[in-house]
Amino acid sequence: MLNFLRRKKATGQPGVVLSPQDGEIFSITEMPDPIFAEKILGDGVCILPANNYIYSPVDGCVDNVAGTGHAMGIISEDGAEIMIHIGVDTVELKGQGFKVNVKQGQKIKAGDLLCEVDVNFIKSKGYKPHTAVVLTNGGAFSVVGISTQKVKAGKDVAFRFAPTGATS
Amino acid sequence: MIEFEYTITDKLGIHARPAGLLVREASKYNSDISLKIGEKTADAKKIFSVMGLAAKQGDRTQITVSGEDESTASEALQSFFGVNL
Repeated sequence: MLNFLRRKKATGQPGVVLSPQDGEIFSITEMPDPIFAEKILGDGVCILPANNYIYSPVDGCVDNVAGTGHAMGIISEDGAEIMIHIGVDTVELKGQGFKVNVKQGQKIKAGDLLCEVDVNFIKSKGYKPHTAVVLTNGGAFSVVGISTQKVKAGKDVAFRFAPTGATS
Repeated sequence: MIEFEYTITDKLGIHARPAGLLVREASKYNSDISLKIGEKTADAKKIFSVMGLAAKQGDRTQITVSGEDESTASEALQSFFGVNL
């Protein structure tokens, strides 16, 4: 019944993080926020969004959701911890412009709608809308390939990861 | 084991940026470092654990540092909290 909330029939694959949003994808080093660009939170990508919908990039579980709705942490079935952080400094909006569709502890499938963000609203408030998608348990896993192109949420790969130390 | 308390003064609480900096700072030390707010406890070396606290301004945080470098680590963390949170 809730299939309308899913964009496509995306299925999570081991080691694959799908793009959570339609847009143009770049290395995390291009994120206009040093905490991300310097990989202090981890390696990954940033997305210049083409629309307002954020979908789960993996099959897994919602581990944490910021009270302000602009950030959440997801643990994939294969153990990767993925933070999705929407916009730069958008914590300051205190929830305005964000509508979260999931709860802490909720099981999710790749392609499930996680959050709606009013990109035009956050831009109108002077904030950059880039979405960061970061692998935060870099001790256990390493990012082994990122996309750098236009992507469709829940369909195209954002990046791949592998257990750290595994020969590739 | 060394314990100290800190009340969060940052009006945005422990959001992604200070959480990331805290994990980086805590990870410099071998000691186990935990944060406790109310009934929730977090491992200061794990970003998801720290984010899960959803610490807000005014929250009293109990920091516990335990290990061979606990005195250096707790001094560094007291300074870190004062500057960043």
